[in-house]
Amino acid sequence: MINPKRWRYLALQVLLVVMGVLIIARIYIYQVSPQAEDYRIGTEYNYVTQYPARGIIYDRNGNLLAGNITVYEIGVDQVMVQNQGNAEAIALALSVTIGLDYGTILDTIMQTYESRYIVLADYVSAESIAKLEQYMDELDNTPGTPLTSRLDGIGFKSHFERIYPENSLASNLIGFVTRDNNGYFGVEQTYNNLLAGIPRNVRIPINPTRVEEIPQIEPGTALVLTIDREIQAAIEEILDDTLANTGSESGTIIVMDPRNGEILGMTSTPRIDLNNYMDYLTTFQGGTPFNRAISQAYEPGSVLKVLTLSAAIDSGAVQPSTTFFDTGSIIVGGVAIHNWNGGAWGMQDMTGCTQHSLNVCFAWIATQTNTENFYNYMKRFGLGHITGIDMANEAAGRLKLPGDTDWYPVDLGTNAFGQGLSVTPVQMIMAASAIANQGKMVQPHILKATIENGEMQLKSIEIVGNPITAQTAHQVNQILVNSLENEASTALVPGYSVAGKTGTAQIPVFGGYDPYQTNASFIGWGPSDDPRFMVYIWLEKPQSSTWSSEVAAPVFSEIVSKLVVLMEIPPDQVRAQLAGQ
Amino acid sequence: MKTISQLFSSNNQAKWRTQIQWSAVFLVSLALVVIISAFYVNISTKTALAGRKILLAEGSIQAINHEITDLEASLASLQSVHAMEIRAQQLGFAPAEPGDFLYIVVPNYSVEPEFSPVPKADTVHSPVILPEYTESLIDWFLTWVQK
Repeated sequence: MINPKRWRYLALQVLLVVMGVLIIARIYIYQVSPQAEDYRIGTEYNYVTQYPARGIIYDRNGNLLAGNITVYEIGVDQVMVQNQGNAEAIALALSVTIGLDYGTILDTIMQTYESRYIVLADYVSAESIAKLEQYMDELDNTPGTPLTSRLDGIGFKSHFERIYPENSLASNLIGFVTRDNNGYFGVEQTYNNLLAGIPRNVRIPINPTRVEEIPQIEPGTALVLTIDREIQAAIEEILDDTLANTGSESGTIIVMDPRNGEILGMTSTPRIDLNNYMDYLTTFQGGTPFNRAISQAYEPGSVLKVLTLSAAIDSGAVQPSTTFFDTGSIIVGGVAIHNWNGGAWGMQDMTGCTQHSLNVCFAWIATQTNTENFYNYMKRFGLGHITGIDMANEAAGRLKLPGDTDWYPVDLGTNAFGQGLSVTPVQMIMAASAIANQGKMVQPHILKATIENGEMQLKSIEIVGNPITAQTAHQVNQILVNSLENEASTALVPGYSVAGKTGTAQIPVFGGYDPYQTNASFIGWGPSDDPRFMVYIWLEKPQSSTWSSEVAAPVFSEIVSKLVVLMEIPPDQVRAQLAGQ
Repeated sequence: MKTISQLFSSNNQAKWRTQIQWSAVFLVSLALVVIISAFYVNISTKTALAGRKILLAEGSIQAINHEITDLEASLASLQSVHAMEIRAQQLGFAPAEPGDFLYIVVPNYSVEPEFSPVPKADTVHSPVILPEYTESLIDWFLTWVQK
């Protein structure tokens, strides 16, 4: 018997099947439609640019020299604010709590933009944000607050800003970072790429099951510098006092470890508080170098005699015992050269010539070395070329060479005592490192190590040349020690044997040399038998005295007195006991 | 032929029994689908929750890193040379001079190693999410078979 209602079941089944097919087809269409694709793109990922935290900078003992602090960007959702009509409330709140201008904020919110998110303020401190949040909480907890008085639509984004806890300490060598995360001067500029890290455009999946795809942004590489914060502070204090006492126009001090070229301290004037880097514009006017130690070349005067003497002894032109009869004048290239006091000093050996800093004697030494040899040695000492120190804006100085259109035979004589050529303080200290370091010249550098991904990489020491033999270095070293001791120089430090040389240089002006102003310099190192520090001092146009022996040499003594304490270097007598045990 | 036909006919099940069997097969299949779907939903939910927790944890880590950085900067400011000098002076200390030192020769004394701000880190590689939350049942089954 046929069920008379069967057709109804069949019709219902067909209807359900058709409906099912239609639903599945519709679902399929939704899945593959262009709108669905757009939706997926818009909702699967957030596309953002992530800026890694800038790498921090330590001194050699782990003291923070440059770090970061959290600051905030304040923005509003313009659509939400306009719908809610609370622009005035937001402007008022930001004016009261953060100190922003009410009218400016209101104008900014009311203008039309392509994006609905508008930045109202940036680099707002955490304290200001805390005040604003407290105000927002009070509004939220006050019943009956109208929508127009609430601060809905306002938002904060945190990011880092550079901070220098030591303010102006070591500012000449650290440099600064502007708000666009670009480093200027010093280490901040030289290592900007390492410190800044690599900003990346990343896509962050919204789907929580794909959390593993969220990229991890590593902070910029941290740097460990070679400088010692205590030494740096000491030389800055000494330099500032010296400038005040001598009336010098500016000053520069470098302290370097001659064994490896590590800069232990470096300063020049002026300096700025790096947290207020906009002061740069007012402080460094008229082309004032940010760091004179590397960026300003000058005629160094008699400190260069240590190189002349080294070249002469190394080439065999003279011996330490070689004598010279000083008549007070010598003709080189047809021009008469005189001593600093115009006097004749009679018979002198190399120690005497150095001790009395006799220009006539050193001009003669240069002629004995001969022109080609002399300039070859000067080039081997690195004059006329940048040292390659890892700091921005290094100057090369000028070493005129035979064959240059502006080189004259008399230059051999004047160059021998540091006039007629120009060097930077860092060039001089690098060149003289060969004498202090048994003939091996080291490259000055400021970076000791990098820290990346939790691992520290030490920078290797670079020997950039062997301009003289170890024997020559030893002989010159001894001459410099003896000349200081014989002279009873103000550079001496009780208990410690030091080597050094003063330099009082005339300053070139248009048409000749300034008859009144000088540059006073001093280069020295110690302990002379096992040098652990080299010091270079340059005082520009001192007023209390024009002579280096009176203004720069005592500074050397003062610095060394600090260094032996800070570097824990025992007096010679104790070191001898230690060596003998 | 009739005998054979009768034989088949006697072995045929009643029509209602066949319908019940088909219904039972359908219901069992349906139940299986529901159970498997429930597993998927359950695992997906757990995965989503875990992912959400990780996202929140990432946010916390970022906030803590900011806080650590801020505290390091604050600490450095408090321990700056200038601040320490003032504090030392207030406590009655004065800078040491070379003559203030008494050097004593200590046999076998070894100098302290230089400062190293970061020890060499041992990197531990571990997945953020356990495989249980990411693999399909088929993956799980294949892994189980391989084991």
